[in-house]
Amino acid sequence: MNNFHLLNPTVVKIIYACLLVLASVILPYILKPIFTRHRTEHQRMLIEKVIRYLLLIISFFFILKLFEIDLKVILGAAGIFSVAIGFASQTSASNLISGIFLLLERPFKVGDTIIVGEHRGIVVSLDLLSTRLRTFDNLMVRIPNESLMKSNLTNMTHFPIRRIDIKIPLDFDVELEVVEKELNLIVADIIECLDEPKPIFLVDGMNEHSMIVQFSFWTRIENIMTVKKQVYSQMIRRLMAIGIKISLPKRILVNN
Amino acid sequence: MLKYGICRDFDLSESQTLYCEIGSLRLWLKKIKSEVILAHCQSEEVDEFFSYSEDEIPENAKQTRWSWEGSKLEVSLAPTLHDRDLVFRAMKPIFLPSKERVDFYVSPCVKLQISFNGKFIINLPIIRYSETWFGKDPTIGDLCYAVKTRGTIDPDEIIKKKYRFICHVSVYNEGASPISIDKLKVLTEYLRLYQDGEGYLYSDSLVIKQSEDSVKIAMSKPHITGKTLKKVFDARTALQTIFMKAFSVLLEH
Repeated sequence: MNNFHLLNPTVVKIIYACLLVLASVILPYILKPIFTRHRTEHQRMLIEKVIRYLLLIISFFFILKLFEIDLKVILGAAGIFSVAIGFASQTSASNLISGIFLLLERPFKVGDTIIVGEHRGIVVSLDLLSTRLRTFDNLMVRIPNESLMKSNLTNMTHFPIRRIDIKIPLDFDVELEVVEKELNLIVADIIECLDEPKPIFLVDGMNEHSMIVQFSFWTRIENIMTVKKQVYSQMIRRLMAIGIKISLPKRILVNN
Repeated sequence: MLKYGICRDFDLSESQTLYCEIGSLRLWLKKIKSEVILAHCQSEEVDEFFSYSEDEIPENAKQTRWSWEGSKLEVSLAPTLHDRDLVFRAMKPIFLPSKERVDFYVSPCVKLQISFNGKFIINLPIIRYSETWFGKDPTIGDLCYAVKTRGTIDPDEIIKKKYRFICHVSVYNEGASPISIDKLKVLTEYLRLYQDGEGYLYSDSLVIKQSEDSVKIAMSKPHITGKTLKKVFDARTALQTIFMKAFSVLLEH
């Protein structure tokens, strides 16, 4: 260390610059636990990104100063290229602004299941330029933040409970009271179905071969798939057991 | 630890099976070499029964294997409370005029805590309650357990079992207008459990004072005439008095 002054000044500057870059890479990992204590996953991710980019910008300006590069020259050069850069970075700027709006508006958080356009998946990360989804068949989908801002977005896991609607085509001669009672008993027997809000039973319409009834019940979002499977299998078995027929389209073939 | 009611300790030796019937829960614990098999299922509700059994664990029981190297195994059973609040319906919706009070008695089931040599293993439901949403609409509220036995205003009507605890809830209407009470929420997070000399369980008594726009809840040790109570379960969150802004957080009408 005492012989540090013997080194070439340029080498010293390069060493300093390397140390600055290293510090701006390592520091976010050290600072993250301090700033993100008692925060949600979403906030933790956001804070980490802000710290990382802030440190990188500060290091960049320090390095410029270290190498005695006049900032005015850089800014002047940037001015010359600003039109070209402006055109080139239109999309990025739009994504960046959309990303900031998404972070402020928070229509979803990391870990939520969302539907955007044709994509349905779990939010893995919300970055400044794009949002990444992991689909249920384990694909990574990168959606630009601008697209997210422009599209209709459905957050499937915002509320802890959800209603499941089942449409059942029934013969015209079935007694609806019997069907309603049986369906209520089915969901009462399934522990994962919520006791309240109460299930709903209504006639949704008719077509040429059946009367469509809708049966709706509530469950926790985590249980949707298992509950659906249980209700459908029990419904078919128990309705058949009491002589209730699920109506199917009929086709009569006449052989001349 | 008390050794009656459902608070029990059992020694389990090699190849021995402990069989327990408590409420709807059927429980088997079997020590085999370096592991313990814990099996359980739900059946008809019966009183508690414990025995060492030679019978095989039935196929329909859900089995889990626990690694246990030690030769000495002491199984402890103890009551514990649910991780979510419990919601009751009143036997009949009741109206409470201004400045009046009503006393409810409820007897929900406890959960069974199993420990091996003092190490926590698992909590099992003695009776499985379905979940329910307690709130004005599906966007605001809490997930709770729906207790099938209804709250009564007559303490003699209460179902007394050693795997259920009796909770006394007093509701005061300190507001100016009458209120109707259809459903009641019991905050399990703050309750402690006590056991009397016969093995029956009691929780802290709850006093709910409802004014125009807020609810004040206080808790106190139950007073059962002629009985000495011993604490068997401590509250997860220690609080003597709670203030809540909205009336609907505890009662629904």
